Amino acid sequence: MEKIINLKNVNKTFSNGKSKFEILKDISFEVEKGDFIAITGSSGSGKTTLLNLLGLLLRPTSGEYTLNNKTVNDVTEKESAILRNSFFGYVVQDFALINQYTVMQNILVPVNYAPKRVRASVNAEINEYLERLNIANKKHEKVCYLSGGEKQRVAIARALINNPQVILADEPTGSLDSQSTKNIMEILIELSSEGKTVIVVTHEGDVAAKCRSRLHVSDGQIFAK
Amino acid sequence: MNEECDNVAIQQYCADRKLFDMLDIKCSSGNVYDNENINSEVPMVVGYKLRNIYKLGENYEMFNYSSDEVMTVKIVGLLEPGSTIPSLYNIGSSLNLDYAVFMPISNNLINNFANLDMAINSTVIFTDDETNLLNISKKSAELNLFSMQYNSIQSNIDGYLEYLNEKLQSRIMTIGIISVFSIGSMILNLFTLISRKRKEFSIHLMMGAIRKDIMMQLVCHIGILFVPAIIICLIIEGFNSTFLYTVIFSALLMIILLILPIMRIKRMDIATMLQKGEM
Repeated sequence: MEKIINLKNVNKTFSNGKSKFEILKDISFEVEKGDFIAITGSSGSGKTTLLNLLGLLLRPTSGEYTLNNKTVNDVTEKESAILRNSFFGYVVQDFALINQYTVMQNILVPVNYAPKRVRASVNAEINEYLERLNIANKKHEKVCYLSGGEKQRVAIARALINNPQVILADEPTGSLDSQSTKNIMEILIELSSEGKTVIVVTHEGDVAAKCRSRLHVSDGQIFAK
Repeated sequence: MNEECDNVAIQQYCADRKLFDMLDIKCSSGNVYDNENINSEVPMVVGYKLRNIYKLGENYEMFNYSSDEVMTVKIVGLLEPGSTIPSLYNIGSSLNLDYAVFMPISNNLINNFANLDMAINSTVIFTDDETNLLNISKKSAELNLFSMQYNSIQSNIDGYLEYLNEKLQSRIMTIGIISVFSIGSMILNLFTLISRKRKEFSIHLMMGAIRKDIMMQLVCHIGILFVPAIIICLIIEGFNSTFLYTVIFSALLMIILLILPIMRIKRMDIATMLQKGEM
């Protein structure tokens, strides 16, 4: 299988000026294309930091991080933005949607930063995702009026609109009821079966159980389960 | 003669024809008098707003306080509306002539000591050679007639410039204080905007924006305030140097306003913004 993510001896340290906190210690693992991985761990273990690091929202303090065999430790801000825009799709616990925007406008945010695309094809794609995620009737509604489950589906549609290779989901079901949790997990499983690489950070055992492989983070260190 | 019109006191001046030529004071109808044509009728030029009281070509009888006699004046000219002369006693300001009357300088009109004294005290002499005036002053002192104080225009101008300088400094200080508070409050406003939109900005960054895109949003936010001001300036001033200076000043002000907020955005990291931002 093709390796798309590779971390070698990665460390992440935060400093508040006086003291340093080592959040991730000597992390090494590989992700193959089409993997469906759960990263589990207790609160404060460093799993969200690891996901942020994978998604280029943070940079490692040391170690090597490669995407598709290309080191991304020292990419420029612009290169990093391009990767965030086209290589990764993000789904987070609090949805990270802009409340005053409509569903359509939220989904268009990453499109605005992508290379120019034909508007008609983008619209057709958005309609397709909305149909598939069962929120087509909410297209022009402001997201603040949607339920948690609906918001997360909007976030998934937004994550998919630029056809990324990897979906990074940080506690995607953390704010949802059991039925919505089930629906969102079904969508993620479906995406994985279509060949997308999905990495889910969760502290919920039943969510992690639905993933094909599992990594456990404890005290900043990673263990395969 | 009426001493006031429209509740405005009528100013009476005795002036040489040369004053009109030198200061380019023109008549809208009739003509300025010549010095020679004073006979039984005294020629008089009147200000524009006196046109309904004193009709051009008409004769009027006026009491001459200096000779205790009634004299006849003939209206020979009506000044253009809004005519002014620079005030030589208050450099920088001007005297409006709409309610003024002009008569020639003549011994017939100024013929007692009190009037002569008043006339001398308010006489303005234009000369190319200051020594002439100094000689008059000297001669007057020798003859024990009048003690004359020579006051050159240059010293008046210097005094006026000093006054202007003080006024300018005071205005600069006022503008400075207002600017400091305005710029301060606008920067505060931008910081509030950044704090309020922190989550939104972080979402844009996560989705592929770069910091420059966020900065452009701030520039647009500030630009909304500046563009109407520039348009108003263009309408009022037209496309001239004042307009260009306004544009340059606005651009500089925008840069000053944006320095601190942009530094703040540069320091932010997306992950922290995502976690801390409130929507």
